[in-house]
Amino acid sequence: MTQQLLPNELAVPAVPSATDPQGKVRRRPAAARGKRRAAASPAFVAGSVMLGLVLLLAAGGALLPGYDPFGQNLSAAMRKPFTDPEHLLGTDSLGRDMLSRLSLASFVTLGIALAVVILNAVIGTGLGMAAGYFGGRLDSAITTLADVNLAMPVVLLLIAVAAVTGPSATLTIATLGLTYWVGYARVSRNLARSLRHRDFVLAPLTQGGGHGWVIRKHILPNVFSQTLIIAATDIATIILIESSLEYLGLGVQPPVPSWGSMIFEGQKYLGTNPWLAILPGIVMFLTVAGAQFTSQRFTAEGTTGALLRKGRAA
Amino acid sequence: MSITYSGPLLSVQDLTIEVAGDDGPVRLVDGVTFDVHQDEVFALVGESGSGKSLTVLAIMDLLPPGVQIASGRILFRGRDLAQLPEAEMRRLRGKDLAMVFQDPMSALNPLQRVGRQLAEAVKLHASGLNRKQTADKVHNLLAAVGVPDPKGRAASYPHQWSGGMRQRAMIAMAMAHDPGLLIADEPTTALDVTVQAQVMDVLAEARRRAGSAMILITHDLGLVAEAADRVAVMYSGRVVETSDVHQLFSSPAHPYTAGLLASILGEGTAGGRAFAIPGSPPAAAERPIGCAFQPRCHIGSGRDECTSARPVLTLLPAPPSDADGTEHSAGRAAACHFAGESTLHLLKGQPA
Amino acid sequence: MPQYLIKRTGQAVFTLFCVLTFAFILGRATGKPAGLLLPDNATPAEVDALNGALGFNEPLHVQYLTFLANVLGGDFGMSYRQREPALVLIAERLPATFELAFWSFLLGLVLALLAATAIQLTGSRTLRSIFIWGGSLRQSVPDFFFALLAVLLFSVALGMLPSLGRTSPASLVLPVLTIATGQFVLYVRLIDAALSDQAGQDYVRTAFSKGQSRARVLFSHMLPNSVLPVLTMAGLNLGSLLGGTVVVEAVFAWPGLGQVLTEAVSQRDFPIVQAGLLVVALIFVSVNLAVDLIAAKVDPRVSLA
Repeated sequence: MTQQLLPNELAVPAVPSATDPQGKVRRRPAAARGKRRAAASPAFVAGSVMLGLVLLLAAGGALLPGYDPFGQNLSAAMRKPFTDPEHLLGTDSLGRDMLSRLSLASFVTLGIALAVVILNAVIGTGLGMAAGYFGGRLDSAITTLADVNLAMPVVLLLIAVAAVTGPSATLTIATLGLTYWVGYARVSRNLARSLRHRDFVLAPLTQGGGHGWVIRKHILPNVFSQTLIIAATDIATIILIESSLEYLGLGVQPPVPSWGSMIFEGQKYLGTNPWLAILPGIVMFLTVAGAQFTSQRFTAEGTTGALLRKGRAA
Repeated sequence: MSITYSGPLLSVQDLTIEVAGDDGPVRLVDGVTFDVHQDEVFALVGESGSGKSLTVLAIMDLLPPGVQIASGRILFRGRDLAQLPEAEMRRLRGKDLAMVFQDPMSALNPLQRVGRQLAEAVKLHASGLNRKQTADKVHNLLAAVGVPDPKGRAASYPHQWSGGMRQRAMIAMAMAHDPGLLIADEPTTALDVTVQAQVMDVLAEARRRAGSAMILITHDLGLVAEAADRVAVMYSGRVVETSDVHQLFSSPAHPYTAGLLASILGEGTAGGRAFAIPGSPPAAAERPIGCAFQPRCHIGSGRDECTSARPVLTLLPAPPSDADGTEHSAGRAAACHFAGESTLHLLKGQPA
Repeated sequence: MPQYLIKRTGQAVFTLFCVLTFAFILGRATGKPAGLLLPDNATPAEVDALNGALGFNEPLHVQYLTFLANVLGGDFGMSYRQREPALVLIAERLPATFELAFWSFLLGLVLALLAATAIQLTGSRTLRSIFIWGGSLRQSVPDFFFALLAVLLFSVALGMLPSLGRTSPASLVLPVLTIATGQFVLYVRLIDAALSDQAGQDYVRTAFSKGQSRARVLFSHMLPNSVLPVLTMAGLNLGSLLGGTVVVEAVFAWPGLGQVLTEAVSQRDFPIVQAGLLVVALIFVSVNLAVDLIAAKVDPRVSLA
């Protein structure tokens, strides 16, 4: 997808000029120019703050006094946030401290998402590199595998397996880990293919180096940075999918909380204490939106793109 | 137009086109002036970046966004196009003003049949034609530009046509309503050499039949020699010389023109080094004060007027008739403080 | 073109085959079902007898072939919990899910088209920013949470719309709204990118030079040329759409496929899950195949390559 801002043949100089067309010499103070370029976009800053808050919650919750995600206290049940000094974010239907549960849930959900993404990245990059580097039948086989993979509805698959083995966190991680690797594979395959015939890859082979060595030393480093970018943008998607599964009861099992399962439990009390469902949702929103905003710095996503004008693109 | 208008068909007067730059507006086209007369082929010559494409895009009001006309007039049959509202311009485009672009592959919609795109051109300015009439017109247009089997070809897609054929289709599209002025922006540059001549023939024939004047943009002087009646040479957004084609080649008035001519490889240069004008044109934002060509000019080094004052395009007196009695017309203009110094011979190292 | 047709159809069949095999393996992994079907005090002999009757004592490859034959004949097994063929139970839930999926898809797509067209016609970067950023926000919450918020607003606070079940046309509103907004976000980005891509093409300038107006260039040239990438994406999107309806159905207690499947999970009623899986895979694969073939037909460059 092209994102032209001006037609190619116009050589509009990007370098600021020392003389203007009338010949007068003008110089902008260097400081002002530099500042214009270095400022981080407000989205990036906002996103980082949001992510920071969630990470703080996940990592730091256990350190707070009164941390108790499992202890029930029916007499203190259904407290709203900021009403009870002992329970900053209130309590749920069984009197459990919401702050503690949210903290643990964040930790758990993020941990699962991370595990899935790592699995996806490893499998996808590995298969993709192999397919791109070796080509031939291996490539066809892996590509077919990827096509079949794409053609299967994952949620249903997980439901099917869960019907057999019973739901669990491990199952969810394994299923998601084994089904969302195609994006990584595609990118690493293309990269490996384009690098395969470059001199710096051929040379060590002619000198007697093995394929494994070449892949490790030359292909992998190039692929790695791309993989990181995909992973960064992917983790948000995985969190959303994972939460949906947990909402359906297919993830980590109670009493261990997760965002999805907390929302499911809280849904029953929407009329009386909506906070039970809303709080985990807010935390999830902060995470995913934060991840989206920060990752926009590295991807081409955003609000560029041509608009229809007479002379061609805007 | 009920009033008979006498005067040049197109008169570009002091046209300046700007774009916003880091330190204020940058003049991509700087005070360009020339006239195009009825029925003539007017060549606009220059290197890439000289502003020739922008000039003609301005005539059609198809400048890219961010680029606009800062000042000047574009008089077409007496009306200033620069002041016309868009609705009026739309009426002129495709009917009185038409354009053929450089790359016919990208200039055609790849997902529509060629015939349909031609039909669109026809229907835009001829209401009341039914399907059959439109189709017939399309086939006639294609036949007129020498496309074999027009009916069959019209039903096919651009990628199924060869480059030369595609350009013929573009010409057919542009000539659909016999425009008064046809602008051809490097019409053969993207084509094979063998096909170039054919397309130029088609172009010449089409415009002759329609009685259109043509502005031909090119950097190929050979093409200019063959096809043009009059020429304007552009350098760094300015017109540096206008002349009829014979005079341009026999006695160029501007040193840049002389340099261009000298760099054409021809007889007498075999075995020696090819000549090229040293240096390269300035970036639009860094045009020097005074003459833009001065830094590279072989007669302007060390001359104060050239570095301090920008030369204005001035009409030159008609030179004396040639030895064989051929008269030269007036109407030659050059933007040089020392126009007419026998530059061509100087470059070739021959005595003046 | 015929070659492409054959190749793609072959791929589709192969995929279905993989799903079938997977379902079979899964089914056998549950172990022999008689133990679940008979009361606890059944003797081992009785269990064994039932297993035999159900065909679970045969060698594996025989079971596999029987399984394939059954499926091709339309027999997807009997539900463990309800004395009904699993396929029937699934089939009677399909209309509800289709209703949800169809309206959501339509609404999302139409709104996205309107939005993307508006962006190009007005040439307003601000409008685009609004849609894209608004879209980002919508995408930052999972469907079920958005649904919850909608319920909170429209049912609990305002009491305007029902929050459960499939009782009246009004009960369709919130579920469709939930899914459609998600779809809208996906499509508006895609259509906008496709249109932008077209806007940067040379042929747009040619159209203007003929005297064409902006609106006509948009509708006669740019939109038709944008159909292809949107179509391909729509096919791929189908998977997430189907997954999405499952979750939304759970939120609204919508009596569709998703609900019956999640119940089946908690009851360990595998035949139903298997039937559901196969039906959905079939729909999914067929739609993808259709989309691919239509796309090949629409793009003249592909057909004639």
